[in-house]
Amino acid sequence: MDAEQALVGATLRAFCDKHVESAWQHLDSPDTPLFEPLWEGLAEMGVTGLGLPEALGGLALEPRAHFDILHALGAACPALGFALISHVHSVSLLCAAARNELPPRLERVIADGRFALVGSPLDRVPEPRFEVRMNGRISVTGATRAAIPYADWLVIPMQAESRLRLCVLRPDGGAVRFRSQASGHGLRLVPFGELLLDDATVLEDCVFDWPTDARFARFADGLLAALMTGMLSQLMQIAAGYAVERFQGGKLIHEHDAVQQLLGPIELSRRCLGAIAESTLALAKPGDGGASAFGVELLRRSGLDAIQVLGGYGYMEEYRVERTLRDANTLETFWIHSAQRQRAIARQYCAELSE
Amino acid sequence: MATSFVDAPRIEKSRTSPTPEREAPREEQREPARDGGALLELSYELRDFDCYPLSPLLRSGSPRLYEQCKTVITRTREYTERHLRGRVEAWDLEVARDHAFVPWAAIDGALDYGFLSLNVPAVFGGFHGGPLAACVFAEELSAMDAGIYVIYGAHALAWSLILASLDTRVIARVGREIASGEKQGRPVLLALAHTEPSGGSDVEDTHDIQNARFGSRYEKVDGGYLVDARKVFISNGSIARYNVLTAIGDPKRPLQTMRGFLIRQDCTGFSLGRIERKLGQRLSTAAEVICDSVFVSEEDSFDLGNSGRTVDTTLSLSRGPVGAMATGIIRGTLERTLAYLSHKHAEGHLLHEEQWVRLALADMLGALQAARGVYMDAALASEFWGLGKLLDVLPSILPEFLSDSPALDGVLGHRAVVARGRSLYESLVGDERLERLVAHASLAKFTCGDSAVRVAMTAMEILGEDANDPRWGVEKCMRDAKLAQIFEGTNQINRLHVARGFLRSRTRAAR
Repeated sequence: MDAEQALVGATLRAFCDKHVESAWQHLDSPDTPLFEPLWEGLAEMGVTGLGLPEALGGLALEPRAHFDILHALGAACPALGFALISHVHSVSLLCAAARNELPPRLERVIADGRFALVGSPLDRVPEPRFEVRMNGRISVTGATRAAIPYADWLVIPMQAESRLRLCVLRPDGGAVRFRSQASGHGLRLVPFGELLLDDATVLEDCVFDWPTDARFARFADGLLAALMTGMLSQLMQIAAGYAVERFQGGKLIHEHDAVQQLLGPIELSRRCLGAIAESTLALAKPGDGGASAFGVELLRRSGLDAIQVLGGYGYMEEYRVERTLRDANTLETFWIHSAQRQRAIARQYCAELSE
Repeated sequence: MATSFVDAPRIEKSRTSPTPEREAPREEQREPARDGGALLELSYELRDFDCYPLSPLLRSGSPRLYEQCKTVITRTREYTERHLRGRVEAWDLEVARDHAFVPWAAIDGALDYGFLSLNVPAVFGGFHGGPLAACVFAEELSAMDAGIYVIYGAHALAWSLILASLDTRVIARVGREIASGEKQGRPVLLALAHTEPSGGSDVEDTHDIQNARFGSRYEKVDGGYLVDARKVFISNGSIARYNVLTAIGDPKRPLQTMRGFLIRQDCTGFSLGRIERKLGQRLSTAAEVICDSVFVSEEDSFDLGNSGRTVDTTLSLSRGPVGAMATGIIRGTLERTLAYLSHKHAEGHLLHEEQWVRLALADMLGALQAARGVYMDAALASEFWGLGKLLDVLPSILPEFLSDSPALDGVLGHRAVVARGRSLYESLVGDERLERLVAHASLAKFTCGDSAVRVAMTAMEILGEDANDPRWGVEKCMRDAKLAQIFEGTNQINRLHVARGFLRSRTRAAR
C-alpha cells in the first residue's frame, strides 16, 4: 500500500481519536446533532465516496485501505461503520444498476447525498418485501423493519414484472413513512424502525434492474468483516488493558489460566478475522457472506468473554465492552443471519458436489 | 387481597392455560395462524412443577417440600400475572431513560405474597421456605423478569449471610422485622454489601480471600464499631432498609476478623456513590455504598463465627438460586420466542415449521430441563445435607407458639445458645460436606448461567431482524442472562469451586 493510501486510514484513526472517542458515551441513542458532524467529517475525508466509481468522484483505494477505514470505525463506533456500509453499498449498487449513467436528479446527489439500503448488503439476491403496481404510474406498497441511518435516499429491493428491481426513494412525504423506534439492543445510534410504503410513487427513472453481480455482496462482506475486526481490536484492548492492572487472589488477573483462556481466543479471533477480511476485500473469497457469518460468531463469543474478563465492571455501560456485545448481536440479527448463511454455504457446496 | 405464603391454601391444579395470548406488537403479526395452527406455547406440563426433574421423587419422598414448592410457584405466578405481565418491558425502557428508576409498584404489589419472608423461619413469622423453595421462586419470577427477581434474590442473599452466621439474636431480630414489616405493608429490604472496588470473586472465596485486597475495615470503639468501607455493584444498596455490610478488623487475618454490620441509610457517614448503568437486569438497581467512619452499635453488628464456614454456607445457599434465576431466563426466553413464532410467517408458512427453528427449540427445551435438574440437585443437597437440615429441625427446637414468648429474645441472644447452634450445625454439616455443597451450588450456577446466555442468543437468531424490537422481550432476556455468568462469583471461580469440591472427594474415595 502506498503512502497516500496509508494516509487515509491514519487520518481516519486520528479523526476517530479526536471526535469519536470524546463522544462515545453519548453515541448510544439516535442523535442527529451528534451524527451529522461525524458524517460530515467522513465526507470531508472522502470516505463516504468508497462506493463511487472514480469517474463520479470516488476514491480508488486498495483493499488494505478499505480494511483500515472500517477497522478504525469498528474500534471507535460500529454504528457509524454500519451507516457507512449501508451508504457505500447503496451507492455501489445504484451506480452499477445505472451503468454509471445516473439520471440527472440522482447524479446531482450521488456524491453528497446520504443513502441507506433497505435490507442486508450481504444478500446478493434479496427477498423483496414490497409490492409494485403499475397503473399509469409506478407505486409501491409494503412494510418492513429497516435501519435508516439519517439517510435522505433509500435504496429498496422490490419485484416488478417478475424481475428484481432496485428503486430509489426519498424517505419523506405521506406515502413513505418511517416509524422510528430506538433499538432495544445494539447500534443504538442508528434509527431502527418500520418502513411503510403506502402506495408510494416511484419515479420511472429511479427504477433499475437489480445488479446481481457477486462482487457487491463480497465487497460488503469484506467491509463488514473489517468492521468486526475493529470491534475485536477494541474488545482486546479494553479486556487486556484491564487484565494487566486488576488484581485477583493476590496476583494480576492476566496471570490466571482462567483469564488467559478468555483473552487468547479474543486475540486469535482478531487475527483470523483480520486475515479473512483482507482477503475478502481483495476479492479472493466468494461473495456468500461467509466472512461475516464466521466473523460474527467470533465477535459475539469474544464480546461475552471480554465482559467476563472485566467481571462486574464489564456489565456496566461505562466500560464499553457490553456495547460491543450488543452491537455484535444486532449486526448478526439484522444483517448477517450467520446460521442461515452457513446452511446456504452447505447447500451450495453439496449442489456443486452433486453436479 | 392475595394471601401470603403462610396463609396459602393447598393449591389445586389449574386447568386454565397458563400463558394468556400475548399482545402482538404489530398488525402483521396479529394475523391468525394459517393452516389451522394454534398459538404456539410452552405446553402446560412444562410449566407445572410435576414435570420438573426430580419432582415425582420429591412428591413421594418429601411431600412437605413438594407442597411447599407448588405453593411458591402458584403464588409467584399469580403475582407475575397480576403485577408484572405487560409492564416489565416498559419499565426496562424507563430505566434506559432514568437509570435510578425503581419499580416500587412491583415491590409494593409483592408485599401481599410474602416474598421477603420466604426464607424466614416460621417462629419469626416467615414462610420457613428452604433452599428448594428459594430456587423454584427464582425460576418462576425470573421467567417474567430477572431484574425484579434480583430485588428479592439480593435480599435473600443478605438474609443468607445472617442465617449462616447462626447468630440467633440477629436472626430473630431481622427475621421478625422483615416478616412483620411485610404484613404491615412496609418492605424491609436487605442488601448484601460485600463486593469491593478491588475485590470481586476473590473476596467471596475462602481460599483466595487471604490474598484479596479487602479494603473495608472496622475498629472497636466504646459501645460498638467504627466502619470505613466502600462497596460496589450492591444490588438493592440504594433502596434497602439495611445494607448487611462485611468488614474486617485485621487485613492479615481477614477471615478470622470479619464481622457483619447492619447499616441503615440514615446512619451518619453513610452515603451512596454511583448508581450503575447496567447492560441488563435493569429493574434491580446496583449502587456504590460508602461508609465513612460510620458508628455501628453492638446491637447492629454480628460476628460471623467461623467466617470461612459462614461464607461457604452463604455460597451454598445463594448460588443455587442464581442457577434457578438463569433457568427462569431460559424459560422466559423460550416463552417469548414461542409467542413470536405463533404469528411469524416466512415465505408463506409459519416460521416454526422450518426444521432449523425446530432444532433450535428442541435445544432450548433440553437446556431448560437440564438446568432445572442441576439447580434442583443443588437445592436438594442443601435441603438434606446443608443448612436446610438445621431449618428442618428448628420447629422441634423452637415451635411457632414460642414466637410471642417474652423470654425468647433473651434466650436467643445468649452466647451459649449461639455457640450451641453453631456446634449443632458443625456436627450436622462437616467441613468436607460443606465444600461439596458449595460445589453442587457452583455447578448449578455456571451450568445454568452458560445455558441461559446460549439460549438467549439462539432466540435472538430466530427472531432475526425483529430481535431488536424491545417489545418482544427476547433481547432483554439476552442482556439479563449475561449477569448470571458474572455475579455470585464469575463462572470461572465457580468452576474452580466445583473442581475443588468434587475432585478432592473422589481422591479420598479411591484410597
